[in-house]
Amino acid sequence: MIAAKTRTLRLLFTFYTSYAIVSLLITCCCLIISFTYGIGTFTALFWFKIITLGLIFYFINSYKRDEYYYYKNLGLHKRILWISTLSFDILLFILLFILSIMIR
Amino acid sequence: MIHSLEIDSIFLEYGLKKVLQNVYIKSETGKATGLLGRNGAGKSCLLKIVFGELDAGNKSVRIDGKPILHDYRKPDDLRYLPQRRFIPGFLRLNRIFKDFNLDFNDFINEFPDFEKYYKTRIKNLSGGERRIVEIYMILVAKTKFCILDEPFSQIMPLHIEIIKKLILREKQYKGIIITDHLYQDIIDVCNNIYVLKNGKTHIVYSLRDLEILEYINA
Repeated sequence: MIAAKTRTLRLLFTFYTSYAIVSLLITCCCLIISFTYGIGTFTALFWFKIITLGLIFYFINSYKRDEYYYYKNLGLHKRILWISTLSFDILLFILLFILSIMIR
Repeated sequence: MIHSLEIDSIFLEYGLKKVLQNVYIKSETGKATGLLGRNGAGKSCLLKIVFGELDAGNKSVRIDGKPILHDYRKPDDLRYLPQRRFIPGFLRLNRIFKDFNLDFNDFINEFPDFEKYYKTRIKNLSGGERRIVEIYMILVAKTKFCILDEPFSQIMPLHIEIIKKLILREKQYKGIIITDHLYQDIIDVCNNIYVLKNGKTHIVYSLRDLEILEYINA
């Protein structure tokens, strides 16, 4: 049971790494802006983040869609992959945004 | 216990072209089932529908008589080898074997040339070598049924013989559905064969049937 959960987490992490660098780079840019200009930038930066994630989703669905078979053959459906990793990425963005405002 | 996978009532059309309309395929554990057909006959579409990757207007896919109504497939029930490369290129072989819960040493016993690749990223293997790893994962990993879409493409004859031996070994424990244009190899390993023509499946008993169905020349 624990081994299966560990494997699921490992697979989710593997899928996340396929777009994490780009996504984290965008998050970092947003943090620099929020740190410089303050909390008033949140709405614009949040929607910017969502739009860029939409573009990443489109890119992976277009150019890496065959890789979904790897995860599905191991029991992870496309929906689970995206819901889990996007939730983590957005949550990380919000937490780091709050942190940047607190430090400022 | 013998498990069965039944596929029927599938209707798929693209525009005015009816791709699939009268299909019936039954696979059982302990047997390999071959699916032949001309290019564009709809074989890959049919297999994708079975794996839940393509939505058909109408479909019935049943395991042990129980219909699968969603697009999720349990790996313990069904695994699928697509025609195209599906393993993320940056993964190393040791990691892939770990994910599929397979022993690399068993693989080396069948394909000794791969011993040096244990920690190699799969994208650094040749097309044929990569295909062998993909076939092995789907064919040998624990499941009730596995679907192989053109497993012999890009593979050299020597390795085709090894894969055929693996199919004969693995079909003792699972049901296997294979489609490929190397029909003689399909005949060698399969217990029953269907030809897909004009959206319909026809059961085949001899080479003469393949001629009648215009899959091979008389």
